[in-house]
Amino acid sequence: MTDNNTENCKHSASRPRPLSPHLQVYKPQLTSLLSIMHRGTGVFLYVNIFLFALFLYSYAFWDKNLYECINDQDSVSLLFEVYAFFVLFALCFHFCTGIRHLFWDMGKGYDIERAYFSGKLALVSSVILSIIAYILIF
Amino acid sequence: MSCNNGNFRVKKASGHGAGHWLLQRYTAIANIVLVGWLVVSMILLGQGYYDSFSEFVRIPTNAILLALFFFNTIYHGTIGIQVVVEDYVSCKCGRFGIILFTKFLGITAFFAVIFSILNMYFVYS
Repeated sequence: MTDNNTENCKHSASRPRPLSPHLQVYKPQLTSLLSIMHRGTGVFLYVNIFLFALFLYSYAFWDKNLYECINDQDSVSLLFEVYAFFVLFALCFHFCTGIRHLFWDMGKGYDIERAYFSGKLALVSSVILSIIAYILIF
Repeated sequence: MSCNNGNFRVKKASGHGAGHWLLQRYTAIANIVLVGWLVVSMILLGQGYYDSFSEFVRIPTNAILLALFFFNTIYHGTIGIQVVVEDYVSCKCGRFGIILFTKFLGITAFFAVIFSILNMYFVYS
């Protein structure tokens, strides 16, 4: 088992093999793009859970002005606002496409027409939702 | 899972193959509610409905839902990262290491969050 593993590592290091799902050979289209973006936003949000956890920890044990600092319009930099919008958009996008994936798991909406329609619906609604949420929050 | 049955090996299903897949969906369904609650709460916080963040946490339902939100998202995220790592990390030892690390990281972050919430709920003024 151990020999097999080290051999596997050596092999993949000397000649990298393409990994499935094959991002580099797959033809870009709405359905594949949304699927890849669902994964990408998922990884991005995963990182952001820990940033949120770090914020909670810092706020509770370190500096209680942290929240007021973030909430204050004047002290917040443009970079933070752009980043916050990206996080909100990723959240809304993952939310909408996630619901689409749950419908697929129930066996609904598999035909090409409905898959494209639900894809467009998820994309448009995630953009609208994130803009509304951003305006209401900031 | 395999068991040695006499002089030949019988390969059979472990019976929990769909476990990860199902948990990913269950946590996703719970996340629909929890993320909806979080966004509404963030809007209320942004509108100045609460004086401070600790005032928001000191409401029991908010404290419980925030803890549940973190439990659920970290669980959902850790399983999700496992699937991504299994797809793109072909080296088996590296794959095992990264998955184990994300599990440790998730548990650590969850306990840090729980202690932060408890601190804000009971100690902070």
